[in-house]
Amino acid sequence: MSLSARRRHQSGGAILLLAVWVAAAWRVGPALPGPTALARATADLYRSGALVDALSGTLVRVALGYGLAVAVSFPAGALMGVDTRLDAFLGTYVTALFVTSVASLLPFLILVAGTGAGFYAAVVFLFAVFHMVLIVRAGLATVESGTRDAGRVYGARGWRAYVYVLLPAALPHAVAALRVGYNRAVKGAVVAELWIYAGVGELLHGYQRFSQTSSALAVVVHVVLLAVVGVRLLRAVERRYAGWRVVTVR
Amino acid sequence: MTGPGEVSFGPLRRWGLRLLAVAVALGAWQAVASTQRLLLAPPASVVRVLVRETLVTRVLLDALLAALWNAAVGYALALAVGVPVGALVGLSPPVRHVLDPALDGLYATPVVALAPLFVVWFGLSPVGKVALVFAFAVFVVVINTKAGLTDAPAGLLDAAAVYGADTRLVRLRVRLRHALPSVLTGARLGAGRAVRGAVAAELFLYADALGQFLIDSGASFEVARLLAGVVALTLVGVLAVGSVGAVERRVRRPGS
Repeated sequence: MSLSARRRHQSGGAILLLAVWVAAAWRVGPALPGPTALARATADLYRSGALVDALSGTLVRVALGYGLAVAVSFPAGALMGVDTRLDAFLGTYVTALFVTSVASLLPFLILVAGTGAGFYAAVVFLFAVFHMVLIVRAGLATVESGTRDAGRVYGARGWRAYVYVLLPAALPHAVAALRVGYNRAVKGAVVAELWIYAGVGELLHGYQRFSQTSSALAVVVHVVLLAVVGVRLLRAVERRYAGWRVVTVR
Repeated sequence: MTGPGEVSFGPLRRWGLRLLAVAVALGAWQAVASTQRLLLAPPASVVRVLVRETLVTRVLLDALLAALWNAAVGYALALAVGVPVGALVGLSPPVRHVLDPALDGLYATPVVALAPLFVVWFGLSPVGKVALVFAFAVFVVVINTKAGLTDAPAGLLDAAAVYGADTRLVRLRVRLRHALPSVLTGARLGAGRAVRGAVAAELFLYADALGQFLIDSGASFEVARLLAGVVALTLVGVLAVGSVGAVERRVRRPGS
């Protein structure tokens, strides 16, 4: 398949999707804003500064909980990947909490952490940390025996094998963990903000109340961008520095 | 620290460590709960409330069943739409070129951000909840179905050709059979996301049964009741993912 065919399909498809969107918006009426209404609402949001304020607040909350999740998940995953006893012990908690719906914990977390920065940090942390632990752990636990044997031949045993063979081999998984964790962190921040009406959550609730769907959709588009741009950047890093080992994250 | 891959670890010791982990967690929970009576309920009373609310008063059981009904309907729709769309995207390069970037973005989207829009679009009706479950579950089904069909099994197709089965229909059947495990992975992940979507719908669209249970318990500081709800939901999630996972393992069994 040549590049030009791909381009042709994409531009054709974009025009088709745009046409469907315009037709649907025209048919549904104000509940589904069309492209022009969305553009106008976006411009208004930028002019008033509400969107930039909300998004920067969201980003700070993401950063706090995400940083915490990285600080916990990387050492935990790195230890669990090599020590089967620790893996069996800590893995029990990780699996149990991995399947727990973090959203169902919201009414509990608000009792424990209040409505301040601690609440956001806790929700974002809980959303991101278990996925990251499991990916980092898999990175170390699934190093191929050939790689290990090669290291052993060159004298890498014990901690040397760990530092010079296993940790470098787990780099692709570490980057993948950063990517998935970031995505989860953004989702957690949105959930937390919708729950106590802050940042983009506050904006969305406000526009919902008065059925300002074009403004609400504009906010949603920016939330999507916040998630997708970060994921794309980290995927680019992954391709550039860690393309030598394929990581499948399900 | 033992060297990696050098210890063979008996299942007995593994389960022993798991039980130890559970015991440590329960002990710590009990210890914290005895000092923080207002904010944390001890494990025994959570279990007591869980049993009472599911088996005696059945408030929690009914709430869970109502939420699960939404989850099941949304999940069924997600499969009914997601698998054909994923197959179309996987089998047709032009469609893939158009939809791939969009699917990638939608998969990364915090779906819960759509909840306020769903309230406007669907009103405070079960339709909105089912729609949110659908939105939670459908993309992972589409993406995994697509992934299974995109990487064509060249070896298998060659083998089929060697045996003279080189018609389009047979080639398609080989590719579909090859994609089945991936489709089932999507179905399993979708089941988990459907349960999460149903919880999100209860909390962020409007709270009638389960959402009401959780929110009221929290608002009145009935922590044992609140945590009983969380525990019950966790069990339901494990059960949903586990049962789809069992189907997946049956199908993946070598030689099947």
